[in-house]
Amino acid sequence: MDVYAQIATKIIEQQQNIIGPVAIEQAKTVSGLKVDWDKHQVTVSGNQQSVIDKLVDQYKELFGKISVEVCKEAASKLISQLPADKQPSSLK
Amino acid sequence: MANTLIRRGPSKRKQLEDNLAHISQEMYKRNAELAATNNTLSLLRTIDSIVLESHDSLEVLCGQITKAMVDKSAYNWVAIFGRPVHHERLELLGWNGTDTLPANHVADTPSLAYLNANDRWLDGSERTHGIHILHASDRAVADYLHASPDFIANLRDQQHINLIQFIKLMARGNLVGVMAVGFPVNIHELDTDNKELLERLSEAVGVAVDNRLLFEENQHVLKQLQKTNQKLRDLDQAKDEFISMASHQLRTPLTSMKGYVSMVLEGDSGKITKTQKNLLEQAFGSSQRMVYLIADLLNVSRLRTGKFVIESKPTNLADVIEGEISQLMTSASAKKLTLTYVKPKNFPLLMLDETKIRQVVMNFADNAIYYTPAGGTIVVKLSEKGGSVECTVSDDGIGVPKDAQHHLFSKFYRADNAKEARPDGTGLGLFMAKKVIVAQGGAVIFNSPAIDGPSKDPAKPGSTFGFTFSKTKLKVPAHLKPAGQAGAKELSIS
Repeated sequence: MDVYAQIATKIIEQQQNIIGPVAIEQAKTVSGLKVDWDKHQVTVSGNQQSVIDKLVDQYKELFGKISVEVCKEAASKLISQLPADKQPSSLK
Repeated sequence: MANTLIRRGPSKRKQLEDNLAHISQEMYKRNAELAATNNTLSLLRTIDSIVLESHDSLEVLCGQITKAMVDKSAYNWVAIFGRPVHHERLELLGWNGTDTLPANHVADTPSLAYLNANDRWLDGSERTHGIHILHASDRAVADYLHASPDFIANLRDQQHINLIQFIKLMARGNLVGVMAVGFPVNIHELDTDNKELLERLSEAVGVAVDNRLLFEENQHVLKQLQKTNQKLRDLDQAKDEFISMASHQLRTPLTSMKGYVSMVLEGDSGKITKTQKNLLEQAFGSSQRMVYLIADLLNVSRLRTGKFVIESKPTNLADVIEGEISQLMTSASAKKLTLTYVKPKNFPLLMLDETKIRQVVMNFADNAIYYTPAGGTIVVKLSEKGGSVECTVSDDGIGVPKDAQHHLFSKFYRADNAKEARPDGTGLGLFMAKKVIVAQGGAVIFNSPAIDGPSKDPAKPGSTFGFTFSKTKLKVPAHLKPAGQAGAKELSIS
């Protein structure tokens, strides 16, 4: 699994801990993101940075700024492995 | 009017939507807090289970704890420093980093990193301490952690750590270690939540490390005790072997000495004068005592090796006691003591180990002679009391102090007043006497001051030693009874 897919998985996992299955439903609506949660499989296609930003925005639209902080914390270990120019802007 | 309603409709709807969004966000916030609390509790529970279930070393335990912390938290790297048994500095015991690193970073190299126990922060009252490694020189960080530049480079480049937060691990008011937590490059200072979480985790880890350190210290002491015990056992065995060998070697010449003195006493070498007889009787009595002493030493050795056996046979205890007491008459009168034996009439035969019970009687009477000052009285009494027989040796001697009575029948024990009166005793006589009595199903009689003793004077407390046996237990089987003791019917059968 590539690092962006890992980041998406971590974010969805953490959101699921807070809001339950709604987190997965919301993730499925993000274009470029394919979620098969039963198999715990997430794939990110196209502009991967932008897809992650969209995922974060999806939660932000519903639950506000605090959900962005949750996403940042969930992805922090993985984000730190990416060079600055490859990091999704919403998680910087 | 209608116009106003049309204008109010969308505004109210907007208001409702805003309210709903606000409620959703508040609920999300609460849920996020609950999720964080759950995560912390789950992590604490995991640490507890690791500690409870782990039987491994401190290093392995620290490796397991740090792995759980990295897996279940946002920390990039966690390390535990502690002071293993008999180490001066805080060694790196275990550490774990993010998924991209190889698993199981138990610190198998003791010098991988360590903290100076006399570091200023460790001595101070501040619980936490942070260092930023991203812009610090490798040398500066390496100097603090006492780690190689490679180790620091790994933290920075592979673990992507900027801030390393150190937190003291305390237990029972003592510093037991330090936990180091690596935060990623985008975190520069810890917020209150993170600080609180770290403090809670450090409490759990502190207790875990302290418990394991105590356990390891106990194990260390236990091993040392086992080693010391083994050494003592070896020494004890060597001593027993020596005693056994020396006793065997002494017994042969002593038997011949005793035999020749006996022959002279019986007139085999011609007539002897009264003075000569008296002196030879003393020599015979002393050699007899030495025979008993050697027998005690051998019996102690046999007890250890499991070769101590009771060989019972029909014994006339009344006659056995008489024989022993008559041998002691000379030494008693030499000390100006009155030695009396109250011999019962028609005393029954008992199944006893004659040699050993003879030694017991000799020991009690001999002690009475030694520990009774001149002019004193010793009374030896054998009697039947209901279903049991009782033999007592009472005197009006120095007695046994209260604080010494508890140890009196222990191996090699001698009361202080006994040592003073007779410095050369072995402390084996009473020990062996009790063994012999108990091995034959009897019980020891002991009291001091002597109950019903020969003296009522508090200055002469005296003591009573003796034994009691159940007649039923020591009953002589019919087929072993001598002719005079068996019934007519039994005789006709034999």
